[in-house]
This record gives sequence, C-alpha cells and structure tokens, in this order.
Amino acid sequence: MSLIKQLWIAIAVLMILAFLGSLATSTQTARSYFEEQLRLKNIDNANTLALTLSQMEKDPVLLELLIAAQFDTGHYRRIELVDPLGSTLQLKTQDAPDRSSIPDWFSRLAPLHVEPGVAQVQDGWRQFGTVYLESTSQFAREALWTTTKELFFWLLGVAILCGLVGSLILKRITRPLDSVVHQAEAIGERRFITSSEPKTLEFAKVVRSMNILSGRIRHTLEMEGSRLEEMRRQSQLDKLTGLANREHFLDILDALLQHEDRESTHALVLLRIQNLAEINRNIGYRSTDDLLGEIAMTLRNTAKDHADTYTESHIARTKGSEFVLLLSEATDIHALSADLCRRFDDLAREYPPRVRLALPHAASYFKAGEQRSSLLIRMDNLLAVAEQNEQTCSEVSIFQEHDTIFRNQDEWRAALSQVISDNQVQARKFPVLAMNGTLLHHEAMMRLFLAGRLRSAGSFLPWAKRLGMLPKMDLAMASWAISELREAALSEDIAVNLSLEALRDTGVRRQLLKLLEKNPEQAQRLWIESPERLVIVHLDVYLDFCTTTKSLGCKVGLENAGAGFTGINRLQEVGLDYLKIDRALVHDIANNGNNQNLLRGLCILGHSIGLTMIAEGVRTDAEIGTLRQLGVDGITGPGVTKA
Amino acid sequence: MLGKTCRTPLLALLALVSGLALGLILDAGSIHSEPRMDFQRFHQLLEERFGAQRLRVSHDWEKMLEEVAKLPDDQKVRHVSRFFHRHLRYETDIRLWGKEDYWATPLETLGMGRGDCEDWAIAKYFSLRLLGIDDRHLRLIYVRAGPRTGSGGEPHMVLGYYPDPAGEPLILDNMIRDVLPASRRTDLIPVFSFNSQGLFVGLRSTPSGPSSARLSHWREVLDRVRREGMHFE
Repeated sequence: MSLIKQLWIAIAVLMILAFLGSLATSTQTARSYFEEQLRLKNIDNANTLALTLSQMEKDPVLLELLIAAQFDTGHYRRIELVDPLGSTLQLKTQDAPDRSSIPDWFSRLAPLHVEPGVAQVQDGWRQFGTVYLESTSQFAREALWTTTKELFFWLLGVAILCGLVGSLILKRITRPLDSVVHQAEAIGERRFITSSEPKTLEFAKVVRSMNILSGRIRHTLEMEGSRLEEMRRQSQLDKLTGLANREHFLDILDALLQHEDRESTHALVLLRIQNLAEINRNIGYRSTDDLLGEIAMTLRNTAKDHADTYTESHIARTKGSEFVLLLSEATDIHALSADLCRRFDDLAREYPPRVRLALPHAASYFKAGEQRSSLLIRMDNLLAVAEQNEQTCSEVSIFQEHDTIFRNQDEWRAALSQVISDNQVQARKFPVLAMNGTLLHHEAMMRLFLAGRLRSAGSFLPWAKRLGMLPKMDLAMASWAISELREAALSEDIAVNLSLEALRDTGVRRQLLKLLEKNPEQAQRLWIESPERLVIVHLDVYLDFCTTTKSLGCKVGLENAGAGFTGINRLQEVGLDYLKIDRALVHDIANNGNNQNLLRGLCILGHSIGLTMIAEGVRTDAEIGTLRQLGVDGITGPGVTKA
Repeated sequence: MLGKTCRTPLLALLALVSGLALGLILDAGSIHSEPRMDFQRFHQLLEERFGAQRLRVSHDWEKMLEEVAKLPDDQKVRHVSRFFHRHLRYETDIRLWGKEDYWATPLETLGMGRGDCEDWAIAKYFSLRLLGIDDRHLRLIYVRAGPRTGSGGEPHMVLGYYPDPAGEPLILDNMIRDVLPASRRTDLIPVFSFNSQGLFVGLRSTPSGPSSARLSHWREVLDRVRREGMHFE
C-alpha cells in the first residue's frame, strides 16, 4: 500500500476516533446533567408534598385527592405513600405511552437512571408514612436523544471538515514525494536524471543523494567519452581534413563487402588530384591545405544534399591526394556524380589556369560479396579514363548497374504499399548470443516477397526510405514481432529496428505505443533498436520515446554504434539497455590494436551505465576470442550460429 | 472520507458502547445499608482542625460508641443523649460560625464542643446510626417550642427515636437532659420530620459530581459527614 494511502487511512481513523470520542463524552455529560436535574426535582417535590401532607388532616379521601391533584397536574410517573410498616396507602402510577421517536438501541446505550425522591410524613409525633415520588423522564430522554442527534451532525460536520483539511495538508506535504519517486524509478531504469531539491528536509536529502549519483555518472561519461573521442580521432581520422583515414575507410568498406545481406547495392566515388606536388610548389603549402579542406567540404555538402538516395555516407582521405565517398545502399549515383562534377568545376575555376587544377572523379555501384581488390582496381581504371581528359569531369561505371526489380519510383511505391496493406511483411531471425552461448534475443531482419521472390532488406529498404515508407514498414515489422512472440509463445526475445523516420512520425509512434500497450507480455520481450548516428541528431524525440517504451517493459538500444554515443548529451538520462557495436569497429578486431583499445574503452564506459555491449558482424572464432577479452557481452553476425 | 468511515462501523460501535459503559460504571455507587466509621481518619481531621486538646473528646466519643454497642436500643439512645449533654454546650450559629444558619457535622460539633439545636440533633442522629439503629426508627423533627396553643414560641429541632415505627417516639432534645416520650413533651408541636432515607441512593460524591444546584443543608451535611470518615456502604 502506498505511503499516501496509509497516511490517509491514519487521518481517517483518527478523525473517526475523535468524532466518536467527543460524541460519547458529550452524550454522557448531557445524560448526567439530565439525571441530576430530575433527581433534584424528585427530592424537592417529594419534600414539598410530604410537608403539605404532614400539616393536614389524615383523612383518606383528602389524602387521595391531594396526591391525585399533584399527580394529575404535574409530570410524574409514580407517587406512592407507604405507611411505616411498609404497606402502600396511596399509589398513583402511569407509564407514559412511548410515543417518542427514540430508538431502542439508544435507550439501552444511554439510559436515564433517576432515583425517586423520598420524604417523611408526620401525623403529630407519629410517623404517618413515607412519600416516594418519581418524575416522568420522557422529556429528558427525548431532549437527550435530540441533543445527541444534533451533536452527531455537528461533530460529523467538523470531522469531515477536519478530514478534508487533513487531506489537503497531506497532499501538500507529499507532493514533492512524486518527483522523488519519479527520479528513483528513473534511476532504477538506469536513466540518471537530476531533479530540483524539494523543500521538505527528508525528501531533499534523498534527492540530493540521487542527484550526486547522477552527477557522478554524468561526469564519468563525459570524461571517458572525451577520452574515447580523442582516441577515435587519433586512430580513425585524417588530421588535416577531419575525414576518415585510410585504415578506417578500409574497415568500413570491408564490413560492407562482407555483409551477409548480398542484395544491398552500395556506391563508391573516387577523386584524385593529379598534380598535387606541382600545385603545392605553385601556390604554397598553406593554400594547398586550404584546397584539400575545400574538397572535403564539397564532398560533405554534396553528400548531404543527396541524403535521400542512400542510407549512410562515409568520406575518407585515403592518400595525400586521394578522396573517397562511400555510400551504403545507394540508389542514384548519376545525379550525385553530375552534381559533384559541377561543384568541383566551380572550385577549380577559382584557381588561376597556370595551376592547371583538374578534379576528375569516378563513381561506381558495388555489391556485398565482391572482392575489395577487384573493386579498387575497377575504380582505379575508371578514374584513369577520367583523368585522360585533364579536366574536371566524371566517369560513372555502367558495371553492375543497379539491380532493377522495378523500373521507377511509382512501381516501387505501388509494390511496397501492396505488401504492407496485405500484411505480407516477413522477417528472418538471426541469433544474438551472450558470450556464454545463451541466447540474448533474435534480431529480426525484414524480408519481402517482391517480383517473384523473397528479397532481403538491402534490395528494398533504400527505396522505402526514399519514398518515405520506412515508418509504415517499421510498424509492420513491430506488429510481426509481437504476433511472432505471442503465437510462438517462445521464451526468447525478439529485436526489431526502428528507424528515425518512424520515431519522428507521431501517428506511427502512437500506433506503435498502442500496440505495445495492448500486448504487455510481448512488450516485455521486445527489444527496439535505432541507429546511433541518427539518434544523436534527434535526441529529444528519442529520449521521449525511450521513457515511454521503457515504462511498458521494452528494452531499448542503439545499433551500428561507434564511439559516437559517448557524445550524446544527457546520455545518462536515456536509460539505454544495450548497444550493438558497428561492424566496422568489430571487423578484423583480432589484428587491429587501435580498434581494440577503442572497443575496450567503449565496453568500460557502457558497463558503467549498465549497458549490454553486443558486437555486430562477428565472423571468426579469433574475433570472438578477442571480443571476449575486450569485455563485450554479446555477439551476432555470420560467424555466430545458435548452438 | 465518507467512504472510509463507512468501512469501520464496528469500530464506531465499539467506541460508542465503551464510552457509554464508562458512564454506567461511574454511576454504580453507594447502596443504602449500615454505616461505618473510619475513626482514625475522624481523629486525624479533628486534630488538624481543632487541635490536639480536643482529641480527648473524639476518643471519648469512640469509646462510648464501643461501650454501648452491645446494649439494647433504648439504652443506646439514653447513653448517647447523656454523652452529648456532658460534652456539649449550647451556642447559636451566628456566634459559633458567623452565619445565620449553619448545619455542623458531628466532627465540627465535637471539635467546637458547642452547637445549636440542629447540631445536637445531627450529632445524635449519626451516633445512633453508627450504633446500628435503622433510619426507620429515627427522625429529625422540626418542632415549635413554646405555648401549646396560639401564636409565638421558638423554631426548634429535636431527634425522635421510634422504637416501633408506627408508635410513639422518644424525644432527644438539647434543652432537656432526660429522654422523654413525645406524649410528655407538651411544650413541643411537631411540624415536619425527615431522615436520610433515599438520599444516599444515587447521591454523588459532591462537589466533584456534576451537581448544578446548590445542595440543601441536609444533603450538604450528609456529604461532609461522608468525607469526614463515615461510610454508608
């Protein structure tokens, strides 16, 4: 029972006791008063009557008349005259018919006991007799009943008023408790939030302690985060341009090429400044550095402007004069290449002709499963063709032209809408294991039956994204997972992806929450993961979503995560449950000392806020061994099969 | 609030019943029967109020009561009358107590060694009650003392002892040493009589009780006597 309820009951009980106590006391006092008054009346009237009788002639008729007159004109129940030997001389009694509204239980609980008045009658020196006189107590009893009733309502009113005032005071006193409980619950969910200290001393102490805890966690995260970020810069970035360096680029490329989804189509753009050494001599190294910076900026801007045609972009400076742009799940490199060409042309024109600056580039699609060396040779050859023009131009490969399931956007839209409305979304489940071999959950990968066969995500997700249909597909995926969890009634959990587009779509978000609320048991076994890169940018939406879904029992995590998550402002407040480390970091981890250091740091940091750290894209036993040493908690990938 | 209160009717009933029951217990008090005297308390109070030299009288009184306890009732009456005539002198209330009318208890009368007619009658009345004589045989009687007929005379009080409740009483009077039958007291005309019958029943131990009215002289005396060591249990 909650504290507030208990306090409330205490107030109610106290009020009832006080109410009944004062009612009983008041009734008792009134009753004593009435008894005393009746008693005095009995004594006085008996004495008066006895005095009168003593003075008069003791004629039986006269005696009877006098007593009858007294009895009939007064309010008496009994007047009796008894002679000295105890026999009754005169007796008048009348039991008043009980016309009163006094309930029996009240008469029993508060009876009026009034002793008769007794007085002696003389006949000269002789004793004539004794007068016994009892007044009727009917009026007193009715008055007592009325008084008690009135008291009851007055005291009840006062008790209710006191109870209301008490409740208000209670509410006021315990109001800060809500925020204390809220914070404590948040910390229980590993969301290390801080809140303002309430005025109540005890609550303030608790909140202060929790704030100190949250603050310490935040401090640790910031320190460790910046250390890791520095480490990442050192090992992964080109110092001059801030782009990825060759090693990091090759890790990313290899991870893409070795990805188990062979239907994804990616793209690579290669740019080389032919005569960099000559230009350096011509315009000086400072201007040359500026030029390199401008090229990096142009690549960034162009990629950003075509963001809807791919999923992720990576730009790297692989050699002194060589840049690459890597686009995963790319759908249209022709437009991008043309745009790049125009922008580089503009850039080249800013330099005098004697510099003979030419910025040709080559672009090509490629698929997972291709050899890295053959891809790079193909790119070199393409670039060589472009370079022969000795001017800014582009050469786009027709090699492995995009595998067109449908010819254009309209056909894609029709097909995807059909699948969603027919509820034909399926998924394949890949195991995610803890290091001891037990199953953490199954990661569900979407599969769609399109144009005659089952297609993996890589073939249709880029189009779904381009057409803005990701939210609906994510929702379909979530409901598939819920029904899978319900029907299979397995003890295992299922993880689904949730794109940022879905998070930002309020309609879809509401539907998703409704779905989870309707299936509370299944929600407990659902893991929801979103790409780290996008969460960082739209933190508020994600934070809000996490708070809601976690309260429904879901686990939330980030996928494709690198060191970037340490940069999440208020990371300690998100309450993440797990993190799936990007395959580019995991790739060839056994032989990559830099990445080992980075991963070890990541794991320590993650564990400090209670995250389960899972490595993606694990292929070999050697990698598993290294990951175990680095402190990773779980693994998934082509090399991981359910035992 | 109302919802909560309804949940505990049992508790409410319990509190009500216990509250009223308490009142009933306080009510159950003295029952009319033989009075007893706590002489130790009596002597102590007398010494405190009137000094150690008066202690002799109160011890004499105790001794007298002890000695005559075994005698027949009419002998008790004569001994008691004789005792007070030996130890008391007459004095008016105004000179003794500074009040027009004051009814003194046996303790006060013995302590002072003086008293007016009702003080004598009261002291004798309680002495006889302590000797086991029932209320039925005793009356304090208002009388007119003086000429048998016509107006005039003095208001006076005597104690009547009725060997037979329906018969003729013996009169104990502070003005006459002898205890005479009423028929020989032609100088007195009886007006009204009373005793403590019915008064101890239900009588609260004032003044702590809720009495709202001024007590009558008689009830006040009964109450003081009780506090001075006489028990009517």
